Amino acid sequence: MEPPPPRRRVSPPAIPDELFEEILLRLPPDDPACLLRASLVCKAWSHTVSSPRFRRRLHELHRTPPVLGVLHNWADERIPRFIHTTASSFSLAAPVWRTWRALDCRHRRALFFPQEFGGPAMLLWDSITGAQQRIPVPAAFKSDDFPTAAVFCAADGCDHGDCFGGPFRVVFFFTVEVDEGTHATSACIYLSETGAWGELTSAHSNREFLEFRESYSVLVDRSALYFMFDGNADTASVVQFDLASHDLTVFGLPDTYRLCI
Amino acid sequence: MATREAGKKMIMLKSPDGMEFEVEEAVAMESQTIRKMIEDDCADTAILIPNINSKILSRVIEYCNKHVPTTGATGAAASDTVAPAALAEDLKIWDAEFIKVNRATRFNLIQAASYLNIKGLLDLTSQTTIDTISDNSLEEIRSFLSTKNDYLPEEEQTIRRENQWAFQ
Repeated sequence: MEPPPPRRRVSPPAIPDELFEEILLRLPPDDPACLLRASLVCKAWSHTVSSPRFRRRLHELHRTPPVLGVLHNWADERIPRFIHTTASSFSLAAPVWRTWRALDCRHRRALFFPQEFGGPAMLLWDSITGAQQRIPVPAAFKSDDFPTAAVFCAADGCDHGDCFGGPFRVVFFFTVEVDEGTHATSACIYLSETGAWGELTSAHSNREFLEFRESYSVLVDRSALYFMFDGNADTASVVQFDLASHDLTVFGLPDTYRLCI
Repeated sequence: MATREAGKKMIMLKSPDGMEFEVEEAVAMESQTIRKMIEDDCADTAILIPNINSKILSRVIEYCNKHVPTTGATGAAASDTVAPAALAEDLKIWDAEFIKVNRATRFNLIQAASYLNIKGLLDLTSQTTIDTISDNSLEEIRSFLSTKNDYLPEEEQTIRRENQWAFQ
């Protein structure tokens, strides 16, 4: 234990500013409150922990960021939208469940779809600053069915330590019943740089039930997105979207999975 | 100036107060700064380590001596005879004793570890400091680090009010 702060005026050595940064980088990464409290010690510390350089170094030092909590879509307002997964009192004022259904969250951005499909725009939310941005749905989407979407950073070579404000993509997926027993699944990419949707890619499937009510994306190696359609053992399936070629593929599940559900 | 002693290449490190330390090259190269000087052939004469006095430099060398990947007299790596987990545990205990120093020495060690780019020592000294102060009040932290509160009372209140969750 270090001795308590001395009452006698013995001046401890001053630490150069750059060494404060070394020390503050070692604050526990799973409790953001520590950084806020540190910023109140003095303005120099506040400046240090607020700088892009500090955020970058924090990311380099701790590599995999801790999961501080999750957003849920349960229809129960007694449960806070943001559920802690650490002991930290950190919370997020996420868009409310009653209005917005969470579709995806990645690289600090979260994407929401209106619960009542009226105004055809999604909500992009910066989980750190709380800034919101509306993103229109593709013009081809006129269905009442549940669509889904994914959001991800599109900056080249980005390690996502501090990529907010950079380019991003939204990939929107929806299905339309073409005939009885036949569905068309479509995908479309939104470019933040142009603020516009690209061309629609579609794939037909003769599966009876294709809906994205509880479907969340998996991004693999920045090259492909995967979703699972809702469904029972016979109808559940996977949609694969190649981000380079825009190929869309729908395929069933292995028999072993069918035996499990 | 590189000499050989018992088959090991030696390097001379010099502190600004005139002390010289002859250390194995492998030990000196625990410092990425010195490693770069050696690799760039900038180490023909004794390497002057600016801003790090002999007392601190000797502690830094002590740390590097302990942490350099060792080979025994027979040439067998130490890890061949001692389980890696036991070695790591031994190092951890040694580190805990090593860092039992006063504030001034610890701050000087942080500075030295930063300049010489010795990641393990920087981790140890910085982490120990943050562990020491993280449960203290803001006033205690300021006192411990000789830092002055330059916030106006109303500025401090605003930050506390806007981020109440962090100060509960």
